Amino acid sequence: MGKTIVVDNLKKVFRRPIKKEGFRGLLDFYLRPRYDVVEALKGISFEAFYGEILTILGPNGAGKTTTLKILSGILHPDYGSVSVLGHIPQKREKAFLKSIGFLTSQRRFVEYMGWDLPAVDTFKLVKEIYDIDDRTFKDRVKLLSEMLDLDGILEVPVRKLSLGQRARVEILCAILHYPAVLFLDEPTLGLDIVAQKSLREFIKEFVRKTGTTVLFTSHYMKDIEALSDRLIILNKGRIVFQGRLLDVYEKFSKSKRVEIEFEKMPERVPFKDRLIEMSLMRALYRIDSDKVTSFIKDVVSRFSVKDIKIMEESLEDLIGRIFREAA
Amino acid sequence: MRVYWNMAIYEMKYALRYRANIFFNTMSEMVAFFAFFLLWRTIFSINGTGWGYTFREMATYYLISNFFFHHVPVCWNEFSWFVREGIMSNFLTRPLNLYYLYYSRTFGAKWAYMTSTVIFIASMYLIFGNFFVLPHNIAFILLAILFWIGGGIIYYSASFWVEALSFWFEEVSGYSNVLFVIKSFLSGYLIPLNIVPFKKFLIYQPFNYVAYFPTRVFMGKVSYHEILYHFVAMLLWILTFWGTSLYVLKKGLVKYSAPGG
Repeated sequence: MGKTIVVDNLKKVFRRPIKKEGFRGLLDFYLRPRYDVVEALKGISFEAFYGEILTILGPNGAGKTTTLKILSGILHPDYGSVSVLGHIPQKREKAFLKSIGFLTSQRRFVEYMGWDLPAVDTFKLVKEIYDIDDRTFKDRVKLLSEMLDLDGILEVPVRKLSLGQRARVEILCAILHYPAVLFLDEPTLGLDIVAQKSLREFIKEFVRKTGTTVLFTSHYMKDIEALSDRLIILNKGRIVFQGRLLDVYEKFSKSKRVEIEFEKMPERVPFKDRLIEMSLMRALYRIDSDKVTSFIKDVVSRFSVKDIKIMEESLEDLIGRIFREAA
Repeated sequence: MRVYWNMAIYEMKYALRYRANIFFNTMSEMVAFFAFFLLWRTIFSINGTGWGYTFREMATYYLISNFFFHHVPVCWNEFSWFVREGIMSNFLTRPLNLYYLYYSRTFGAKWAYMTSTVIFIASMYLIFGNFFVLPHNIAFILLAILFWIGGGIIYYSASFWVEALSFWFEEVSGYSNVLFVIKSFLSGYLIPLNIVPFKKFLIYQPFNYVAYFPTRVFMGKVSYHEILYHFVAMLLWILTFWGTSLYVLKKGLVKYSAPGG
């Protein structure tokens, strides 16, 4: 499997103006402007491969979007090297720009180019930008609009579309040229649950058909569970984990969730110190991974038990804990 | 090239979507023209003659320079807004050069508005022909358009410079206003450049090709020697402005901080 992206010791620093509140603060800034320095990326390294969906996960300000912006050539790194499809993104070579797609979380290309025009007009412009021939263009618009459930709305002015429809139009616009590398910055943000699910299915299907490398950021665990081949967890500009989703459990999961269904409810709630929640005849416990067997033995010997379920720690809890520990 | 041509067509289509807006845009140019017309009519009624122009020539000067001035391509303020808000990222990830992108967009939009102004000028010649002079031959009209297109590239590049300063200073609307005022004066829109002090300097500066010089060519008030001389001078100005604009853009992109998500 060939590499599409190689990132080595990437660093990025931003300078932010510091202004105090009110007119006095404003005047003070006029006379003595002050800035602080934010290290958005502190030397990250990773690789991505053809046909892979790689997720970048992290709390706000972790450096996820900055990473995507550097990889797509929008931002210039302060240190380290980046190669995407063998190009240095910051050179903005035509061949490079023709082979990537970027969907920003603001998703505004279609909106700003053709707010009052039907989306299909903007698609025709995109066709020219990427030099797509007529036949291919027609086939792709038909296929992608079916996949994205956009049939019948491409002739409607963009301003008349719903938020979800506009989001899907922007996605179509970002991938019409079938990029070899696709950057998606929080693609499901602002979509309802049904739209989120269909978008996830679409991305999977698109990657399967085209072999595109997808790098995406998201805050939704469902996106990550459904899409990720591999995961990078960023925190405060540093990679705290990279690997498969299963590896996250192996590396970080220290406990399991054990659900006990009692035949007859005990008079007092047992093992209260490890209890997560209690409902009617069921009790859910968080138990250290190495103590699960002894815990179950103990329960079975002391109570009348109808059923026992052992579950992994939820991804949301796990990721939350990783963030807290890294902080 | 085809991309930018399509971009211009796209913008033309976009500008043409509101007919009434185009009409009122032309109206605003007409009001400006009539204000100058009445002002110079008053001046000529007192003086009788004025600074090498007959009244008919002066009326023609304002009719044509008004057209050239209002339809010269300019880099929209949208540019600095997109830089400030980070929206420009949507364009930077596509195989587009921002300099040519905005030129083709403004060019397309200007053409949409230009059509109705051309109808207005033609009507003025048909209805009030006695007030205006016609060019001696069609070659002057074509040469005037050629100089105006050159002046347009110069002014567009200057406005692009100013908008590109937003990579460093974020808000540049004040700078744009200064450039507009400079253009209004140095293009000869407010007053013909050959009747103001420092005229020798003023007729060689680059903004002279935005309105003054093309209008004089249109009216046939320029010798072939001057045309040749100014053609070379204009080409040098175009090269200077075009080259420096691309340089400023290149440097600016390094500074771009792409704020927002």
